[in-house]
Amino acid sequence: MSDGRTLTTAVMLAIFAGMSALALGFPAKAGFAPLLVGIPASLLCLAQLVIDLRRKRSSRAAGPGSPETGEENGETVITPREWFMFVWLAVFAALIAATGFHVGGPVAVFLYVRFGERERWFNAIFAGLGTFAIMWLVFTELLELSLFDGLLLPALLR
Amino acid sequence: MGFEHMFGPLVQIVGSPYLMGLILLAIPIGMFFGAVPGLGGKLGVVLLIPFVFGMEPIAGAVFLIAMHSVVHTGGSIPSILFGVPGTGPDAATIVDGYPMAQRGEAGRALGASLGASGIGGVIGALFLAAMLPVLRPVILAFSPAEFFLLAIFGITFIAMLSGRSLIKGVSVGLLGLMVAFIGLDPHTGTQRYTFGQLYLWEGVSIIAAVLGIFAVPEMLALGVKGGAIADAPKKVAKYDLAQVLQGIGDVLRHPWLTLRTSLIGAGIGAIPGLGGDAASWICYGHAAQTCRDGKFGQGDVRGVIAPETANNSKEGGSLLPTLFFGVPGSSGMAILIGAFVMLGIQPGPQMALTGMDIVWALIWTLALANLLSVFMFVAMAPTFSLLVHVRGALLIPFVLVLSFLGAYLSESAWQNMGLLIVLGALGYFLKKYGWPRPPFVIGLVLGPIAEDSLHKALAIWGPTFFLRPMSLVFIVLIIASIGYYFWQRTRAGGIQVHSDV
Repeated sequence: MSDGRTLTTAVMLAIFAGMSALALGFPAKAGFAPLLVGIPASLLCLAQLVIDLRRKRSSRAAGPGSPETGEENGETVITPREWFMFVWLAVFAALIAATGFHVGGPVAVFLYVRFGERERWFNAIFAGLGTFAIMWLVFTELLELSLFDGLLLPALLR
Repeated sequence: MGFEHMFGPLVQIVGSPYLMGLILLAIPIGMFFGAVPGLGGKLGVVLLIPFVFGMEPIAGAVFLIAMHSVVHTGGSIPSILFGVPGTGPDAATIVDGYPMAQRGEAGRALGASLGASGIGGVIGALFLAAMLPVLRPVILAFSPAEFFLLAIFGITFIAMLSGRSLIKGVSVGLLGLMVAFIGLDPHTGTQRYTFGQLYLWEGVSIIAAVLGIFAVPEMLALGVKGGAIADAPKKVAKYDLAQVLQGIGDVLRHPWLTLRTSLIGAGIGAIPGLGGDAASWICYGHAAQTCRDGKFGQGDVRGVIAPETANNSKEGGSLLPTLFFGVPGSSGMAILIGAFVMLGIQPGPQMALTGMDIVWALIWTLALANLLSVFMFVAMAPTFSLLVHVRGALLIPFVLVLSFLGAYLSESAWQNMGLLIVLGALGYFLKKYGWPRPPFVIGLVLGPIAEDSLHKALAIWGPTFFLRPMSLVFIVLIIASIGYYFWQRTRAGGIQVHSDV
């Protein structure tokens, strides 16, 4: 089960099966609706898993030249470029969680544009400053919203 | 429903520079989301949510509806000029719009699209207004049994129409329902799937979930693809104002076609899940069938008018189930419901009793936004045609920051950013492997309604609530929609009705 398509189905099945199993521990009234949804959903995902595995087997039988094989059909679980994007998503989350939206947001944008996409310094600085301007002018000043300051920055500044 | 009830909100909007300013601001934003292929109205609503925090409910709703209602007006620009649909439903416009542009009539096609969109949008709003007296008693006659089955019908219908696989569509819809069960059970107070996390007691934030399942995967996919958002030719077809005015004149020269396709579009929009692609393609097909003298597919202006009227008029129709039943008319409306709830507007049958001022305000906003977009379009279309070349590198980081911001602001909980990442990753793989995501939002929105109605129906009638006359009607509708799915699958060469996944 090494291809992405089958793995996605397996994850969906695991989510439903896990949630249904947990629902068995709820009081009857609280667990009724989750079980009503979770059990048929688990069966549907199981059926999809069978379909995926059969498709995989038939594509293997058709040989490597078959249009059913390859990355498009989920042979590669996560490509290097996908890892690259997931890492950047984590960087955004970490920076914002640590230093908040006023600092972490613009810094994340700057870093991504300059080092992630190798854009010119001018573009990266402009994007970072633009993000800061929107955070501060629109959200803080105009809409008077209290933005998250981060988990780390307030402690460091104290 | 008096004169004052109907026109009071219109006077309020037109007389308020603040509300009119919001509409005027929302129109170019909506056209932007339409004109940039791959963004669309859903993402537009999702990304604007942080901006409506702290607004008055009416102001926030007016802003979002105005933006959402003109997305397809902007979407026709890349369809006609580049042959690249701005959004899914704009694909039908390409069939005749792009050949017109290729033979030097880009301005005429844009004008026809503009006039049709404007008139269609206004007729859609009037359709919604005309349906109110008919619908109000029906809504008030619904019991919990009907609401439960209506919720199931909505999920089934949208799941089947939003993807190529029935199993995947329904499964994702059920996943939305399961996520909706997270939090304290409203009947027993039992913690369900909270894992001791206090911030989950109130349930999963719809906004954070929607941002995670839609916005983040789109940006990840854009980053993986790299380059410009759409593969469009650099050369833009030239046109002038006289051509645009000629196109608007074409719409007025075909009043019956415009009216018919507007009404068909609005009617289709009122059926949960059927809107979008179906409205534009069915209306295109209607035009091709009824105008036998036409050269459809080779640049007939009526082939632009028909889908464009439907694209905008369906918005009025899809507000009907969205506002009065809490059943989203489309996936975009599902996201709007989430935004409305966040603003303090609770769609559902109580709207017919206590929320008619908001309903009328939204109707007038639809009409005004579509009307005003005509003038803005003329001024801004050349600029919007450049948006198709926007590079993802500059868009991705900003949208990601806005997504984190929206997730945080929805409940002022930083933990929602974790939820955003988890659902974003899941959403990316769902998108990659053909699991349609719109049913997730429908399930998430309808989950509480479905569960609450089920408990009430069981308490009142027991399991026999399935045998009530209206329940039987809904059961027949559910079976019919499943039958329709299989009929559609077996029909070779028919119109493929599915939205983006």
